[in-house]
Amino acid sequence: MKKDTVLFVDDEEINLFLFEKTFERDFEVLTALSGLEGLEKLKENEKRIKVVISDMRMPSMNGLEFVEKVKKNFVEIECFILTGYGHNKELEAAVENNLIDRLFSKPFDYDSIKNAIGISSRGS
Amino acid sequence: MISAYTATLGFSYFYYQVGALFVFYAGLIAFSIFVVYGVSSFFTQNLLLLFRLSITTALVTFSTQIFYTGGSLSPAVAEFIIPPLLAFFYRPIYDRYIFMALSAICLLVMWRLTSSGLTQDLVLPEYRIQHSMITTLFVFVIVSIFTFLFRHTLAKKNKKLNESMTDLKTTTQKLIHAEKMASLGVMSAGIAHEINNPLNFIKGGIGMLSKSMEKSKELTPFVEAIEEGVSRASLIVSSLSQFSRNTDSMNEECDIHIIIENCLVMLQHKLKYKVEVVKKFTTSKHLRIVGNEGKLHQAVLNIISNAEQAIKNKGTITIETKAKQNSLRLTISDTGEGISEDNLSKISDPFFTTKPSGKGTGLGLAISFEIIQEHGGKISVNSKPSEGTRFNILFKLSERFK
Repeated sequence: MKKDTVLFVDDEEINLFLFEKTFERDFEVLTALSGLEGLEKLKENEKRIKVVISDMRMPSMNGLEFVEKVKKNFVEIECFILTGYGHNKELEAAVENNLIDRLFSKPFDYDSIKNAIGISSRGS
Repeated sequence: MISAYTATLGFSYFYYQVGALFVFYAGLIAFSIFVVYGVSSFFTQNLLLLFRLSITTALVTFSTQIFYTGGSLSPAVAEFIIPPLLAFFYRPIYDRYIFMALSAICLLVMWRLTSSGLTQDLVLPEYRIQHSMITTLFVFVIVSIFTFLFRHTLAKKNKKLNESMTDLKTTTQKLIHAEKMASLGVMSAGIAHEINNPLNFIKGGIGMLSKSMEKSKELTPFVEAIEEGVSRASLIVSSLSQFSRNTDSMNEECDIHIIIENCLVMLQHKLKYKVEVVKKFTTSKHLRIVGNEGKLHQAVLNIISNAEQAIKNKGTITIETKAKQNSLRLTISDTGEGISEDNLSKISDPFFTTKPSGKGTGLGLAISFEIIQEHGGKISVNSKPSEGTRFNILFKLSERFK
């Protein structure tokens, strides 16, 4: 069975590496070091990418700003946010307004994310 | 000095008799001035003003006396010597030195004037000694009385001042303590956040490593050691974050009984065979506390957790709730090892713990206390070593649900 493709965006290379290695058996993982790079990768792989997962705290473009852009340009793609901040009014509001589809806290739980991606790809 | 015109008034009679009306009127005016200012300054407690006015009028009155009762037994002599000497007791008014100096000058002037024959002596010879002795006595008595009154007032003022100083010291200490806590909070948040990232690297790395190391039995304990370390560090980091976080909603309606039940579930594995939990909940319905549900969970969890840890072999934890008018009283007591008197005041200090190193962060109760206070509640602790501990918490109930 063909694996679903997910895009993971984080400004730390080690995090990109760990995420890719953790999920490479379940999904095809594409990574990007910044929101800008993420948007580029999305343009190149538009049809394939089902889910975008992004870290919150990044220089130049933070997770929320990145997701806003993704939602604007690529309507079908589900967006998850990974945050180390815990609860945050801005993020909670974004979830309520369906700007973010799922919110996860760091460190991520393998099963939760695997299931969430599974559900999303089934849904589309 | 104050007595000066009292004496002046009293003995103005003499001056009146001998026709020295000028002196008589001067004394009368001086006395009136004293009555007005003296009385008012006793009310306003402006002792400095009283002192200065009395010196000024006294000197003026004395000066007029010089010309009319000069002579070796002039009562002015007594008036120029005794008050200045007694003024020594009028601490801490430094004007007394000025007064003493001025009195000395006046005495000198009087002596010179007398020896130059420029002064008159209006008191009749037969009354002269009497006059002087009575004046001296009168002056001495009155001045002593006023000195006593003055010192009494001063002592009272001092006492008030000392009390204010003590209050100020206490408040300053509290303020410094609060500032320290605030900086600690800011620092903790920063540290927690910064440590989180590298911690997650380690976690992620060891997670994958341990999977590929499943075959190698020898290396397993090392992997487990790393995982244990990461787990404890994460716990500290999350406690730290919780402790310093201040951005959450405080408008949730919370049911304390549900919170307690949740906490008991979370601690179930620790309580199961060791602790008997006795619940005495109030039967009143619809009791709600307005605040942050997550934080209240944490506050209660930490206290129950502490209670469980205080019980070494077997024991009981009693959780009681009582509703009274606007407040909800929550009592959590245990039959554990108790807290010594010395430690009792420190239990809410961050990082204070009696557990061996590595076993506790010392933050649990600090967080609980902080959270309860954040919710406008009150918390106090009673404890007897070897007998047990009791946490008394008072919450304000939400108005909307009564």
